[in-house]
Amino acid sequence: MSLLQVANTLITSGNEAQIIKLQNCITTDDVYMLVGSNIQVGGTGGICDIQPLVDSTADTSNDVSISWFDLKANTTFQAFGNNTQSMWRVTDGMHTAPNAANFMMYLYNWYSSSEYAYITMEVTSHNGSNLRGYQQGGVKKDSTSFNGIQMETNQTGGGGYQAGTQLTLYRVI
Amino acid sequence: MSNLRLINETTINGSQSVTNITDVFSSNFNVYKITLQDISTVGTTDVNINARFINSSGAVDTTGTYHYAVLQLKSGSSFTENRGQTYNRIDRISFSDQSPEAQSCVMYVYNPFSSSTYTFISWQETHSRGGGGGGFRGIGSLNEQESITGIQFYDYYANRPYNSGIIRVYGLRVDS
Repeated sequence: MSLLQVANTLITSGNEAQIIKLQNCITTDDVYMLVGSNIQVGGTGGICDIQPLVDSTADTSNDVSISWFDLKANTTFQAFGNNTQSMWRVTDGMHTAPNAANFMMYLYNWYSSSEYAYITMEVTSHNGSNLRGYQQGGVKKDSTSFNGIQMETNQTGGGGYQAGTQLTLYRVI
Repeated sequence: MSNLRLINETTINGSQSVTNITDVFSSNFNVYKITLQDISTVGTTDVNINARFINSSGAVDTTGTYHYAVLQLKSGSSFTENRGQTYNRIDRISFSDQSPEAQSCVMYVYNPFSSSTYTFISWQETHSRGGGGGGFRGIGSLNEQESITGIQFYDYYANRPYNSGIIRVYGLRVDS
């Protein structure tokens, strides 16, 4: 397997943000690998979501189907599925550094205008009390051609995603 | 040139219960991919391969600050959960047995070298042991703000050594 980096954002001090957009970087029908590293927010209790982009605009229609298994270091694992939501949730109950979330995702058919867009993800994160992480699969039942992806949080503390948060997209070739 | 860079390849060609992969994590990369392939045991009793991290002083971190959660998938019975907090290792990285039974595992390690972050991992594994197949989906963390430069894999039982297999460490290069 070979990887070609097509986009990267590293949050730096003074440039904290609630939304990170990787725009105009999905340009072929290849599989793409999205890596989230050291994702941290400025306050406790935030969520981290993923949505597809058409240019700079997020597709927020409720046509995402997901199923996940939440691995937890402190208690029984949880299974969940839903057919009508507008995003893929990476994690919730986020926490400040050194707690962080990290993930590996594969994106399938995102550029296609005739196929649904699929995603798989494995997440490892610590919410300040416990280690947890989704093993998740999902589909956006929409044949729109998506050429980017955004990662957003509702956590406003410190301006959202903190310095060190990094989102990198590779094309698998 | 691929952004996936091979850093280290370790071939297991002698009986051992501990394998230290040293000086592989550095400031050059934040995220690493590790593959463990075809590890098989000397004897006919299956092994549980665990992991610990090695810090920049060369010491294996055995403090009770590991957290892990792993789902064990089984071909012949119900899946089971395994977990631990404030543990001294990461359990169930892989199972294996005597060849032709063996295993394969893909693992990602996040930010090990940074002394300001925790070290996180996730892994997916498949194995054959005792005539049955199975696999793991796991996550883990070392909740220490220390610089990690290597990783140790070992036979949890200490008396079920393995004598074959290949471990490869790759870095995921990020170009600014």
